Amino acid sequence: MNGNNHHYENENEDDDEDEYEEVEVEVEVDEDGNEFIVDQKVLNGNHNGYHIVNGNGSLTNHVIKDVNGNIINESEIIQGDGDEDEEYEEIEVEIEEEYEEEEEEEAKNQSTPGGDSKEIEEIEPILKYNRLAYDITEILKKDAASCMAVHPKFLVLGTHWGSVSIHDFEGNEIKKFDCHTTTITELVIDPTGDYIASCSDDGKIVINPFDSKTGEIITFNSDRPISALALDPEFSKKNNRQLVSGGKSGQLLLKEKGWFRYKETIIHQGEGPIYAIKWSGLFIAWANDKGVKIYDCSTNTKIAHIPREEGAPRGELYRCCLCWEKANTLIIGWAKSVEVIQIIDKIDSLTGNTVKTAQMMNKFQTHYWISGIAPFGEELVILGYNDINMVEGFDDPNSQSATPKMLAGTSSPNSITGAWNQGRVESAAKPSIHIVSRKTNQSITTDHLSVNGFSHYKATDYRLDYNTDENIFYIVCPKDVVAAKPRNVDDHLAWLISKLKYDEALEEVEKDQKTLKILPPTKIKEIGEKYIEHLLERKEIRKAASLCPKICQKDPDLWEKWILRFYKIGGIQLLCPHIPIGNPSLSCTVYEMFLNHFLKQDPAMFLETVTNWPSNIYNIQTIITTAEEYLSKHQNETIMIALAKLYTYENSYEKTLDIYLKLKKGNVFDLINQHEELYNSIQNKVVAFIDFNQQEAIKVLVANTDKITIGVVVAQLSSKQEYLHHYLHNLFLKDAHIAEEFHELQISLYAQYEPSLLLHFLKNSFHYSLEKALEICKKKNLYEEMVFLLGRIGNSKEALNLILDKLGNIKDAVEFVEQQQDADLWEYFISKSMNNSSYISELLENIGSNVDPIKLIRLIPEKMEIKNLRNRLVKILSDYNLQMSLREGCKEILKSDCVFLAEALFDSLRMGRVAEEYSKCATCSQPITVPKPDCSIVLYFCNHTYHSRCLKVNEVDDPNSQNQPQKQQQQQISSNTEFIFGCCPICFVQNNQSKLITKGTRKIG
Amino acid sequence: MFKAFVDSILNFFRSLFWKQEMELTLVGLQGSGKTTLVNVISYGSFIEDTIPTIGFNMKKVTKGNVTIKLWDIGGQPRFRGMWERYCRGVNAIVFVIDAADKEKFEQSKQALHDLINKPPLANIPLLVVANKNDLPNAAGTDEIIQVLDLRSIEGREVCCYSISAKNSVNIDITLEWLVKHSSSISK
Repeated sequence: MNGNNHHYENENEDDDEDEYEEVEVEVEVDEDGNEFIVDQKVLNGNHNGYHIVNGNGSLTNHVIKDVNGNIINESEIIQGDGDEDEEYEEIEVEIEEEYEEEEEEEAKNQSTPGGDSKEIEEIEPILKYNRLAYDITEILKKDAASCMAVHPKFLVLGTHWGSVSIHDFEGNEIKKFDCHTTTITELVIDPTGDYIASCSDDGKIVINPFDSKTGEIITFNSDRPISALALDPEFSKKNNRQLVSGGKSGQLLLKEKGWFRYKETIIHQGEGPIYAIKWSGLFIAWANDKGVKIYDCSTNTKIAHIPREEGAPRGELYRCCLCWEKANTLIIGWAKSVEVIQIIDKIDSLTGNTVKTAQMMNKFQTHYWISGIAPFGEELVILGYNDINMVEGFDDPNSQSATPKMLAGTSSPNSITGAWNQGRVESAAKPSIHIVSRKTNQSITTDHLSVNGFSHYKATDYRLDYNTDENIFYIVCPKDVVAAKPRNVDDHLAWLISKLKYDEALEEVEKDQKTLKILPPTKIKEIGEKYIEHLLERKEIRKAASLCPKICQKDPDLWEKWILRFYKIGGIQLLCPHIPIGNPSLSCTVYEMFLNHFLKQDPAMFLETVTNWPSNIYNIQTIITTAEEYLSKHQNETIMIALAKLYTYENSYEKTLDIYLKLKKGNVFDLINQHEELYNSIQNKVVAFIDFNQQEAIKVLVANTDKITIGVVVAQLSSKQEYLHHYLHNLFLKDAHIAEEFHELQISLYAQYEPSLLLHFLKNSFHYSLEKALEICKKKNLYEEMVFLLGRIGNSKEALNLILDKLGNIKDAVEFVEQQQDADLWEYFISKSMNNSSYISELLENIGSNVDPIKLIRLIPEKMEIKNLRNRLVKILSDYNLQMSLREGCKEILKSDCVFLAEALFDSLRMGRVAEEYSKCATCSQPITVPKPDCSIVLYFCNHTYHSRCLKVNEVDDPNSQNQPQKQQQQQISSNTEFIFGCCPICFVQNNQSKLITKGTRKIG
Repeated sequence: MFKAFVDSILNFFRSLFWKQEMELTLVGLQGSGKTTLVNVISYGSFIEDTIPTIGFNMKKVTKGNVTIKLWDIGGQPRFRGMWERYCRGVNAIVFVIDAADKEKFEQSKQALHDLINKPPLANIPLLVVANKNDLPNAAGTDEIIQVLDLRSIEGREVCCYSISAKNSVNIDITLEWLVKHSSSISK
């Protein structure tokens, strides 16, 4: 044991004897003064492989195992240079997933009930690891950590050089105490944080107050190394300042402040060195070679002893880890066994007193050496030290000439110096953090940590300290301090993303947004963008596009960014349905980019987009120009329709109409209805308009003759006779007079296209020249129409000829002749029929009463055979008979009527007339009964009464004048007493006035 | 030796009847004067050149029968994540703001509200101290209340004082307020 590096050990040779006992045996020094390891203990045959950590680059070996432990997937990820300036330096972790039987079964049942398939899903690690940096890194460059203590508000780090420093949780140094000369073996912080107690191999125990001004430094000296220390949990509150210490001396000493000085009490001794002490409430637990003992301060008795198992390795080889989980629950991890002890009250059956006894709650073995243990809710966190399977060649000193020190220099950036490196091992395995379920005692997850210089550490070099409040675990090793925290939402998300489970990550974020809102609102964008990028790389453009609204939300800049990205990879079509059109509106350019793209690539989409997007979000004129340009080179109906739509947006309805008419598509009529001004534009495109939809178009034209004049339409349709015909026909149906100037034209159109309607037209129209019409009809051999025309002209003979010769329809002929009411025509008709027996037959049948049948019969040429002549003659005769009997009947009826009426008249004449006393003469208004000379009374049936004299005057003079003086009248009447009187003058006048010519006079009976 | 004995007896009695303890956490942006304020409280004197606090400082001050434990946390952005940890379970949170640095008001407001909205810190009384009122353009209490939107804070006692650590202005009333809260929570 020589060489400069060993000075520390030499100084404390005696004290370190035990500590380095094993190592000293194993390390030899060669001629050059270099140490090398000649023997390393091989405890376990598993060779898990090891990874060299060199420089900042790191190699992470990710191993996934199935239930049986077979490696199913092994991937190596070489990480880039670690950034040393980072606040937290992520340390690389090798994760080994171990599945519990139960979980596996559950998973199997859930995924494929009854199936054999083993679906293996990666389990997310529970903890995340950060290396403490800043001042801790600085300290560890020169020194090596030996132990640590955690307080809710700070950390205390002890080193092999004997310094004690207070750090915050990032590693910044707050304070430093240099009161020891060698390895700090234990650090204890008073729960209030006011005192920090440290003990060391130099035999000193120092209790430093945090704030040196407000407390005294207490120092105890001993000549033996102190390896374990515990403070009364109420150290700062109680004045007796109790503490317990133990060490190589094997004595467990309780020190407390008396009146003048500290006094010491030996609680226990004689069972070998004390390895660990932990004080919780009333109980002090400590460990020595024989096992773990628990002391009850309230009764000053030892209440429990948990003996070490037979065959367990020597106590000092592996750290005895004690921790009080609760006031009465102690967790012991030592070597490879874990025990959970609970102290319970029991009533002693003999004395009846309550006695505290310890009870073993749980016990299990691990396959690794335990370097630290801590409770973690329902689980335990165990820092495991793994044995490495040594290669045979390592035994040969020549094959491995490098000393541990040199090894350290080559494999770790930090040169390893100080006391701790005495007799280091080499090529040790990485330490592992196991999270062990207390129910099954199996590891749920195992993380292998690549701490600095791990290949040189022994099991006792590691420590695990923890802060129960926050579940933060500190893995302390000589050159590294690593904090392990349960993963939070952010870490969970990061993990999901690293596993490409973006869907789940997004779900998590959304869930968070709805409930806790821990995450910043930008998180969804951050993850979403990654997801989209990922999907794009995998060419899942459709899915990526559908995500965009969720991710970009109402952020136009983000939208534009992604739209550009989609554009570059040509996924713009798929994105189109998702982009926002208004709220938020993106810049015109973006929309125009879309439209331009579709214009060239996907006309159908172009149309759809143009239809669906509001026109105000892009510059219509630009798009129109582009579309027009495109159309000038390529013919494309879809784009034309789209263009038509664009024109509509721009209010260029005329252009829209042009396109519609050209394509014979689209809602021309709606368009026209909505926009009156279009009638003007139709004027020039009547043909195209009718082409579009003959029936409807003509309807529109006919209905709007005020806007589109008939003349214009006719002029345009001159080349399209058929349209012209339909147009005019419809016009005629609407109003027979509206287009009179074209009626002549119409006749020829009818003749050509719809002869059947011509007759109707001819009959109803009066605006054509009969000669011309006749000519047209002649050309087309339209005899009925000709007959009509001839009839109208008056050329009935010719018409009749036509009927008979061309149509051969005798009934029509008869009807025609009847209508004409022309006797000459009859004769002509009959004479014309004479040479045709069938005509005669028909004539005989139909002639009826129009012509004397005898005349007809006489005209029948001899020897002509006439069908059914007899029957027809009989019919004529019977017709005649019937006629005669009708006439006879009429005569009889007339006669009897006359007789009846004459009798009625006679009866009425025989009725009496009364001249009353007060009846007045209708002429002189004097009572009729007043006797007048030479005067008689005249009574009429019309109830008028007159004096005969008065009547006389009237008769002689103008019967209408009644204004003559009465005297004159009287004189005249008196002179003509005898007179046959005429009608009643009043009634006579009335009769005359009513122009009834009844001159009959009535005599007074 | 005898003196120590008498002292210890006196301390013993004092601790029986009088002693009260309280824990405070001072937070605020860097350069607002937290460490200076702590020094003024603990030493009673203004120290010109205070170096920026790295991590935190802890001081215990005895005022009358109250022992105050002061956690003075670094104000630089990288330490702000730790504020919550140190504020947990204390008797009062003291938020120090530089009343003369108006550009940082908004930042202060953000930091303060971020901190006090953390669920573990509910109900802990908050004292806002507008430091450096000796400077000519320092904002007054009313302005600070408005700028930090203190009226919107609910569910806790909030107080705001304008002080000067340099000239020891209003330090006494600040302490008075703090001491008053020592017993209110810790019984």
